[in-house]
Amino acid sequence: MRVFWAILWKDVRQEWRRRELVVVMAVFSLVVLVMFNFALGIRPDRPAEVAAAVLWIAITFAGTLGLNRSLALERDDQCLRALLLSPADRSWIYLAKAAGNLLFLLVVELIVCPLTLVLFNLDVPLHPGWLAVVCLLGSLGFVSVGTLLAGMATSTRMRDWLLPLLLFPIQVPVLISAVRATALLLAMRPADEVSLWLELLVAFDLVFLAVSILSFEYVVEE
Amino acid sequence: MRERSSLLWAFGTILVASGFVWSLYLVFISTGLDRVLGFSQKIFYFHVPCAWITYLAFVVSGFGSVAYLLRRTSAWDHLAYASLEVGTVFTTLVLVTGPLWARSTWGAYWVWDARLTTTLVLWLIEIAYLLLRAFLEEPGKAARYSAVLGLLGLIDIPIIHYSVVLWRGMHPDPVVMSRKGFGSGLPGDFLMALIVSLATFTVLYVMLVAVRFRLETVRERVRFLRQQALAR
Repeated sequence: MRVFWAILWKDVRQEWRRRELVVVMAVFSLVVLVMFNFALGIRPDRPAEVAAAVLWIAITFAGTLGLNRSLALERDDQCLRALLLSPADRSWIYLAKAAGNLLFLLVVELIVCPLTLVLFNLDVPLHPGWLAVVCLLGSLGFVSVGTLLAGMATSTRMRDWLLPLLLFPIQVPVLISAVRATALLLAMRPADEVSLWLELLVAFDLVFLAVSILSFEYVVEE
Repeated sequence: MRERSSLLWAFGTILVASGFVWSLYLVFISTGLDRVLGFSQKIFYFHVPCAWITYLAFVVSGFGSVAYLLRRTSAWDHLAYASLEVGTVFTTLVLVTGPLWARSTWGAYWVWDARLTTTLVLWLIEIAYLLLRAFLEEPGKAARYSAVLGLLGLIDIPIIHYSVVLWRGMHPDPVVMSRKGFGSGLPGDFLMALIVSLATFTVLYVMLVAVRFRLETVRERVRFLRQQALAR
C-alpha cells in the first residue's frame, strides 16, 4: 500500500514540476475539438449528441497520448525494472500507474468539458454532478485497460503506434456508454434515462479493473 | 506413428472435400428457393457456419490463452495463436459474405446493427492480436502478451455485444436458435443443408488449426535448434 502512494506521489510530483503530460493532453484535446468543429460545420443539427461524441473522441485521443508517455517514461532508464526488482506487489505498481493516469486525464477533462459546452453553445446540464460521474467512470474504464495495454505496447517494436489498435476495440463499451450518457445529460434529459449507461460503465470498470490487476504481472515479468 | 498421423490428415482432407461437394449439391441443387429472399438466401449456408466458427475459434483461442497463462506450456500458446489466426480468416469471410447478402436484401452493404457491429469489433481485436504477435520478437513475451490480450478479448466480447445491442436494434430474426427450439424456423431441407455445411466448415476449421498448430511447433523447434547451434 505504501508502494502505491510512493509511486503515485512520484508521478504527481514529476508532472507538477514539468507539466508535460497535462498541458500536451489538454492542448491536443482542444485542437481535436476545433478540428471537429471545422469538419462538422457551424451549427450541427443535434448539438448535444455531436458535442458528446466529439468530447469523448478528444478524451480518447488525449488519453492515448498520456498513457503512452506515462509508460514510456518508465521503460526509459530502466525505471520499471528497478520497480520490479523491489519486493513490491506488482498489483500496487499497476494501481499506482493507473491512478496517476486517471488523475491527469481527469484534470484534462476538467479543462476540456467546459470548453466543449462553450464551443457547441450548450447550457450547463441540469445535473452537472452526473456529468462528472460519467466522466469519472468513463475515464476509469479507459485508463484501467489502457495502462495494461500501454505496458504491452511500449515494449514492442512499434511502441506508441500499437496502443490505439489494441485499446480502441476493447474500449468500445466504454465509448458507447459514455457518449450516450453524456449526450443525454447535455440534452437535459432526466437522470434516470442515464442510469442504464452508468450501470454498464460500472460493470465494465469493475470487470476490467479486476482483470487488469491480475494480468499486469504477466505483462511486466522479464 | 507417422503413418497414423498422415492417415489422419488424409482422412480429414477427404472428409472436408467430400463435405464441400455434398454441401454444394445440397445448397444449389437439392434445396428450393426461399419464398421471400429468393436466390440470395443461399449465401446463408456459408455465412452462418462461418459466423459460428468465428465464435468457436475465438473461444478456443481465449481458453488456450488462459491455459497458457496458468500452465506455461507452449502447446497452449500454439493452440491459441493457431485458432485465432484461422478464426480471423473466418471472421473476414463473415464480414464479406454478410454485406454481399445485405446489399441484395436490405439494399445497403453495411448497417450498424448489433450483430454486425460486434463482429466488426471482434475482427479488429483479432487483427490487433495478430499485429501484436507480429511486432514482438521474443517468443516468451509474444506468448504472454497475446495471451493477456486474448483473455481481455474473450471477456470483453459479451460486454461489447450487450452494449451494442443497447445502442442499436436489424439482423434477421434468429431462425436457427429461435425460442421454439433449434432449427424450428427452417424447413427440413434447408436445415439439412445448413447442418451439412456447418459440419464441413467445422472439420475445415479443425484441419486448418491442426496445420497451423504443427507449423508453430516446428517453428519453435527450429528456433531452439538455431539457438543451440549459435551457442556452440
